[in-house]
Amino acid sequence: MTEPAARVPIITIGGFLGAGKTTLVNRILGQATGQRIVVFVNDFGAINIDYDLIQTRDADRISLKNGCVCCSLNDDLVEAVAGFVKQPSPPDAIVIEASGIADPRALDSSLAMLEAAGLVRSDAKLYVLDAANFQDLAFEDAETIIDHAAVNDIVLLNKSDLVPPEARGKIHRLLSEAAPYAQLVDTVNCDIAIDMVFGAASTSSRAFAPPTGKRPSLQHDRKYESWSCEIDGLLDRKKFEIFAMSLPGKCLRAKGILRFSDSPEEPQVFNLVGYRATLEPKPRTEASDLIRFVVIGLAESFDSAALEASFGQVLTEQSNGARF
Amino acid sequence: MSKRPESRLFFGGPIVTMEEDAATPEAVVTRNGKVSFVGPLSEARDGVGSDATEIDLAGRTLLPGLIDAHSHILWAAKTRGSPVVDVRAETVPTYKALLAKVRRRVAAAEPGEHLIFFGLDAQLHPDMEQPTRAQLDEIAPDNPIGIQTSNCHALFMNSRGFEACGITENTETPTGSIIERDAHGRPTGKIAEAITWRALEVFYDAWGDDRLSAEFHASIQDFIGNGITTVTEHLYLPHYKAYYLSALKQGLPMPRVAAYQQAVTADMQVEQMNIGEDRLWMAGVKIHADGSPFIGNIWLTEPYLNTPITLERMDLKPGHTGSLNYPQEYFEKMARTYFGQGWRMSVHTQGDRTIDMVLDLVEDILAKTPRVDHRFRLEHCALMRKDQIERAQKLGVLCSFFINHITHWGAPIEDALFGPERAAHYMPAGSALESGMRISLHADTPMTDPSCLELMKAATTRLAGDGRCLGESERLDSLSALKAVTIDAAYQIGMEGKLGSIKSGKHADLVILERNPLETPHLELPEIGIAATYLAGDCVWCND
Repeated sequence: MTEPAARVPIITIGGFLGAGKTTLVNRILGQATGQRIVVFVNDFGAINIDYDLIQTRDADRISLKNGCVCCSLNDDLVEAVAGFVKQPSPPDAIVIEASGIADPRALDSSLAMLEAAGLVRSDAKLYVLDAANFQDLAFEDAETIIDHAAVNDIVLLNKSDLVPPEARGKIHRLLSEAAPYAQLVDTVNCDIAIDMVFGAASTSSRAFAPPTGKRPSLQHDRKYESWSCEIDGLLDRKKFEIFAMSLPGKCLRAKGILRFSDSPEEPQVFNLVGYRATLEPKPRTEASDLIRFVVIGLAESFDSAALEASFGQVLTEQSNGARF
Repeated sequence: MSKRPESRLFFGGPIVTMEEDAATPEAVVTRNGKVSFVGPLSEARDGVGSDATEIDLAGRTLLPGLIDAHSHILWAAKTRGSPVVDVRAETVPTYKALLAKVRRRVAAAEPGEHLIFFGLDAQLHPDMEQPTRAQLDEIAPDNPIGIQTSNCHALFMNSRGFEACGITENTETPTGSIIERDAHGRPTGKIAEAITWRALEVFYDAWGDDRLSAEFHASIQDFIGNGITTVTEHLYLPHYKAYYLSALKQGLPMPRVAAYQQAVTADMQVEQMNIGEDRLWMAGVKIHADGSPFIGNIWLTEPYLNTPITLERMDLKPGHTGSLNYPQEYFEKMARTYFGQGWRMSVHTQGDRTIDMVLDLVEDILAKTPRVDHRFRLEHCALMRKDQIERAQKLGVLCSFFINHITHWGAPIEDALFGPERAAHYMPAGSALESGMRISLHADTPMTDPSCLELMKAATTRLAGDGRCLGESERLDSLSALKAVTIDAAYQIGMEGKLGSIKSGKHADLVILERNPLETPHLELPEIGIAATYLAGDCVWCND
């Protein structure tokens, strides 16, 4: 069997919708001078928007579609990772960005299998936590995030610049109790050094390794729903702003790559987490010209028909129609 | 109201029938909930009318629906479903973190709200201490709270919890149960065995029926989604029946349920029942002869190791050898009574001394009142010795192994509880198979999650969570492991004529797997995707 040091290092990135996982992937890629990093991306929703947002630098991108890693894709994931590692010139590192709602433990059995086969070396499990949003979460949501964070090696308390010192201290105290094996790192835009991530093999020591579960009983397929569309057309900025303001409360998260009629040549990235929405110029990638929009919400309160109807109102022209 | 006869034709992939002839037919036809044909595709096509739905396996594997021979499908909903808070070590890594979680939940609680936390673990929470009533009172002065151990056998409560359950210094300890008390007889926090499950019912009742119905629905999906079409309810109580009937009435895809009614006295009524067409039936009577190796109440010939885990976290005395749950005569009276009524017995036994006692009893009963085909079952069988397996096999006694102990607690079993020699034959499925016994494997859900493929992996590899192998000689081959969750599990619940293999005339309970488990490396078994589950010929789950 290959010595651990010679195997391809692998890291996993978890975190709830909108916490900053994609930003972290881009951070890592931005520091990967001359190294070939393969990124596996898994986005909940029919269109893999995260895939388009990842800026490549000597990186391959593989997107895992339809659902999140913990439900149905573990088999594909193992095969895909094994395929890359067995290439004549394997990548220098592998990053798996899990779906925003995946239980990080769901990847354990796949990682264990790849490690047992001598193919990879699991370097670190990272979890990105939206510190700005954390204090406003309902009890159950906060507990889910705490449980997910607790099984990781490094927890990034991201957007920490938006959190007053006292509240930050509170989050630290809470997590140092709840996640005693994780390293806590305050970050802004996931500004973490790549050296901290690779080669950072778990510093935790446990009396006994926890079992690797197959399918956590968390059945999020029944809890979450998403609606997405892909449109060849342009949006009215004013109408979109009104539409965007109506989203909080109806969904957990929305994101999209948008084009507005007042500046059709400047695509924008829209992000909505909780009550905070941002619109930024889209980084340059070779992605298509289409407008893409994904909304994810709790199944019990999710109304895709209403979303479809109101998003339709925002369109100014539709040369080739919309695909919902 | 009669449904139009529905017929399905399966073809295009390996068909593992689990019949003795080991034939690999090309096609299977189901009609009216039964398998109506197994054989060549051309004959199958000739035999079915144009109304048959053709299902092309496209290289995937068709097997009989999987059977978990010892589980608790409704009780799992009660025990683990929301609002129970999961504090198992795999979710909440330390005891300190566990207490912090309890504090957070209590702070968010409504006044008087009943709270249960599931998963305290002396073996896996490295800093575990036994919570005391006083400590829990300080955390939760106004809410009844209980912290249940991950092995389900013990519960720690605060004063409001004891009040809600009506357990006071004047409460007599029921035979077979444990209430820890101070010098004045006042309960100090811990209760164990049968009284635990009775106390928990107070909490479940407080949460109402809507909650239970919703969680039962989720529990059903959990089993069906794992290709499991027959389960047991191994602590069945008469008031459970209404929930199964309601599920059937709603048309929920409830797996077939073999009920084993829980006995705590020798005078209960056990109802003869078979509802629907083998959807729910009384399979037998269950008695706990001893308890859980993880809290120390199993009866052993050789003592537990003296380690920090046994002495401090489990609070055992040095040289602890445990005991039976009930006084021996009391247990024997129950077993003789229900056996005498003609029931098939299912007896929880973990320690070898307990197994000696039960085998002595079975031998005596059979000598006095011989019965062919009694299928007396021993459950879990953690520390069963080789001589006991041979003796059991001669008596026609069957073993069902809780093999997931090895994956979940393998390391502490070897290092902290029993040492390498006993660990190498812990849950001795291989020895039982070698003796010629028809064995079964089980997940004992809610204690571990339902997955027969996980069970197969555990039995074929015996790998603990940290990667060590506990007893190579006890490993099973893939086919034997598959039998233990299909045809031989059906045999143990007395249904081998109707379930457990693909054969003309049997119930059309089927599962389509993405890969053939008999040709999949053992380590990868749990990763095999479940493509679809069929119950009585209907597709009740599919992975879209």
